[in-house]
Amino acid sequence: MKNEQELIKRCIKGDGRALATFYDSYAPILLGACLRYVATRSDAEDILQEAFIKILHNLPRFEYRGEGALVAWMRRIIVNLALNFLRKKGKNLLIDEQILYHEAENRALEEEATGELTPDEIHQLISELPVGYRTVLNLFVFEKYSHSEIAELLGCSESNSKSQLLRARALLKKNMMILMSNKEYIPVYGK
Amino acid sequence: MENKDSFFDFLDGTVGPVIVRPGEETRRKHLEAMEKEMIRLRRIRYRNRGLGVLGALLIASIFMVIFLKGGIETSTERHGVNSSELSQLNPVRGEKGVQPASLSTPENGMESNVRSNSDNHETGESGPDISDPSTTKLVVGESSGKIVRKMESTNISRTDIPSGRIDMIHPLQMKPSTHFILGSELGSSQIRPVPDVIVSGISDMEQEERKGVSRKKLRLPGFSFGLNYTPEYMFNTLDQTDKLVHNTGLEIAWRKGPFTLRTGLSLSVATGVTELAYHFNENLGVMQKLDSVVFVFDANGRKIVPSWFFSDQQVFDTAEDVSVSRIRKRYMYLQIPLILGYDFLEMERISFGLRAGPVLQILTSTRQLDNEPDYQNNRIIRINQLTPGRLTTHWQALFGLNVSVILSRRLSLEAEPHVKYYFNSVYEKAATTGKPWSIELRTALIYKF
Repeated sequence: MKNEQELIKRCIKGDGRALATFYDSYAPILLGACLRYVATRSDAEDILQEAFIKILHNLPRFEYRGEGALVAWMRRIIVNLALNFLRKKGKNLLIDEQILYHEAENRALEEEATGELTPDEIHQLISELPVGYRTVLNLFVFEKYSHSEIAELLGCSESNSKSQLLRARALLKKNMMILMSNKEYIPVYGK
Repeated sequence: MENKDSFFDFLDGTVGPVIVRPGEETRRKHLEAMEKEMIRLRRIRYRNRGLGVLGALLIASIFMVIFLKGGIETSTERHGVNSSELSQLNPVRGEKGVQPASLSTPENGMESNVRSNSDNHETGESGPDISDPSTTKLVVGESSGKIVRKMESTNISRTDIPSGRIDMIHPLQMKPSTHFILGSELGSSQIRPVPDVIVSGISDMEQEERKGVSRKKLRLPGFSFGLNYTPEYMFNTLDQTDKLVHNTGLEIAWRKGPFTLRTGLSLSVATGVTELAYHFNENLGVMQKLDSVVFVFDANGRKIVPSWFFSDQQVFDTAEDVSVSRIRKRYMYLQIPLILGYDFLEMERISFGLRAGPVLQILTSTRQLDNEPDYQNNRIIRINQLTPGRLTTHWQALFGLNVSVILSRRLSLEAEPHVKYYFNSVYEKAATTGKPWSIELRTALIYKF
């Protein structure tokens, strides 16, 4: 998109209006992406600011490769910053072995998955997953990272990433089923 | 996509990208921070440009200083005497040189004139007082059976002599068997008659040889300046097609005896292919999306008439496609070598030596040579660069054999086959099993100050 390229050029030159347009165009997407990983909004906003500073630093080196490339590049930056933030906070991004997981129960639940929940409810359920599960699920499903990339990013093995995704999937399904069947829903696992 | 299943597709399709608008206060705070950062970045850019210009000026002034210094020293060395020595060569007047000095043997009409080119020689301000017997004495020698007189200066060091230049003039009446060489050319400050003739108009090299100067004198110590071109062929690189690198630059060398020390600045131009994996959703076309319906009551027809409002919406395949593109890039490096050399064989016009030393290479610019692939209306999800990026700084070790051919007293040609080993890879990640290395041939034209 030519407008996007033009906007980038003007931002590099330091045009104040272009900066505001740039921010208004991409901040909502980036903040949304960040909130998938970080629980509180104030933390996400801090990360957003840091991300924009980093984006400005690297914008002259960004090579425009077509529509979607800029957003993909910025999403990558904010996801990395969010993961760094979680690491600094001492959150364990690797397998959380303490989570109770019953294979048999989940096998049964998987077969009954339906789509009667609203996107907000599903989003809420995802955000209530343990940090490790949530991170891998977000990276894999929404950011389209491969297991090898997730492993490199989180410093774990590929099989670790796969098993964590499997468990996240099962736990999410279970919670969805509970919510759908109007049972009393208690978020067991902390953020 | 590995392990992709219907549940994940369902999640991706249902939840989709989350859009959360920052609050007004947050927006203001963030924009302020961004503007401050932009100002800071602009300052850094200006500062870096300024430093670059200053660096270039500094290098240029160093070159100029070295060049000027070299020029003056050379002038003094070649002619061996200057205006202060000239003032001492006036035994008749016994005072500071008021006019061009002249040594004469009136008995046989032989005359050797020494004329100063310096502008202030007539003022007689340069040089020590020759009337002082402690510094100057008259020496009498024999030439062609006749008595000649000359001045011998004993206590004047080279540093006492201000710069200047004189020409030796061989008069027509001078007998061919007699002339004077000013002593400083022979390492002392004496004037001696020698059985040879200095004939004006012959080449410098011939003059040197006729004066009996050693052939090794052709390789004078001091600074030299050179232009070089070096084609380089690399091994152990990722790219199997673009292995040829072109280097060209300016160099300055200092020589003492058989040893040389060389440095300079070179530009190195290399090309390489970068592989990029594009992950995208294919565009399936455009659908008409119903935005709204407006119902208007038609009083005449007594019915409700709906108006449908549509908008175009791009439709993308949910399957993720991957396409790998190869894009050629040109990398420009700045090279700073520091090469130590030793010449083990010096013949009349040719010498052989060894060269070795480190080379610092800095990536200064990257330019894309190919156009981006056109993905038209497809939605790019992400782009992975498969080829690792290039390091901005790396070190190399260079070993080579130098062959130098002397063209004239000041000009020489050098050919130097090298082997270069890269201490660290040129890539950001260890992309190859071994470190890169290369062979190259440096060709240089050298000018001696």
